[in-house]
Amino acid sequence: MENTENTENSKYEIMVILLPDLGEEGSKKELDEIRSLITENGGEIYHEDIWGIRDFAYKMKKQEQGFYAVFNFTLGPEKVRKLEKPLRLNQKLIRYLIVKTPGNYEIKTLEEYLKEAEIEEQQKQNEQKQSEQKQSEAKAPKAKKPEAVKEEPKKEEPKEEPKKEEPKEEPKKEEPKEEPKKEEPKEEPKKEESKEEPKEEPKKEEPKKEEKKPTVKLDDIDERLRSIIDDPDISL
Amino acid sequence: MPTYKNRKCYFCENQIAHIDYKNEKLLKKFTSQYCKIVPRYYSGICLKHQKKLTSAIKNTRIMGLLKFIR
Repeated sequence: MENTENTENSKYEIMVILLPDLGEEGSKKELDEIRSLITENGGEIYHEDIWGIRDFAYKMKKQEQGFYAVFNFTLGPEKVRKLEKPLRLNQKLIRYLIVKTPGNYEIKTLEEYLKEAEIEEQQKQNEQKQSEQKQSEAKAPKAKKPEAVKEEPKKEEPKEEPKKEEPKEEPKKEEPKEEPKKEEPKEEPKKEESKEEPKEEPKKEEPKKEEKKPTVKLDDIDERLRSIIDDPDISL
Repeated sequence: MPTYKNRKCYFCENQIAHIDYKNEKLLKKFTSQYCKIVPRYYSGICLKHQKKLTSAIKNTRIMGLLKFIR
């Protein structure tokens, strides 16, 4: 039942692509034919937008360009189908598209769309420039400091590394030898202290190191044993 | 093409009721680098407008304003 209202007249839009080789006169003739087609069927053309020759996004019918034109018209929905057959048979037409437009449709020409796109591009460029400026301002003070700091160690590192590697390897081998020797004299005073302060950490290290070198420790142990034996206070 | 984080629908924000197939530069934003239509979970467009968008993009492709494949 809704169709009864639409049978009177509804808005349509037709886009037509003609061959680019027709020239001005040929293309005018073709456009006139299309206009007459619409008007003969009882339609009214209320807006025209002729784009002119334009490149395709891909090849159609061995052509890389086409003559675009857009017509807005009102027609009864049953009569729109009658338009299609002559359009299909027209050999100078590459393609056509009939679209129904909504009632509150605002006509926009190609130029308006292009202007909108330009304005958007300009806004984007301005935003980019602003963001770049902010970034450059924000980076400039920060970037200089780390660069200056980074450059210095980078130059020094390769020079120092070979020097460091050589001494590093030697002490690594020496360390296990040197450490126990150094620690041994320290252990004795620590033990005395440990009696007073048993919470010290070095206790854990002491037994491990004593096992590694028993020759030195045996003497120590002997001395301790003798000291214990000699003690008159101990009673078995 | 909008990024993941832009979750609001472009057409709802700008109040574009009718998506026109002639506005090829706008529609190009919603296609991938291979000229495929960007799915909704990337572009963040609501379902109502995505359906209109797809039909509009398909019309532009037929009229040679956008590519099918790149």
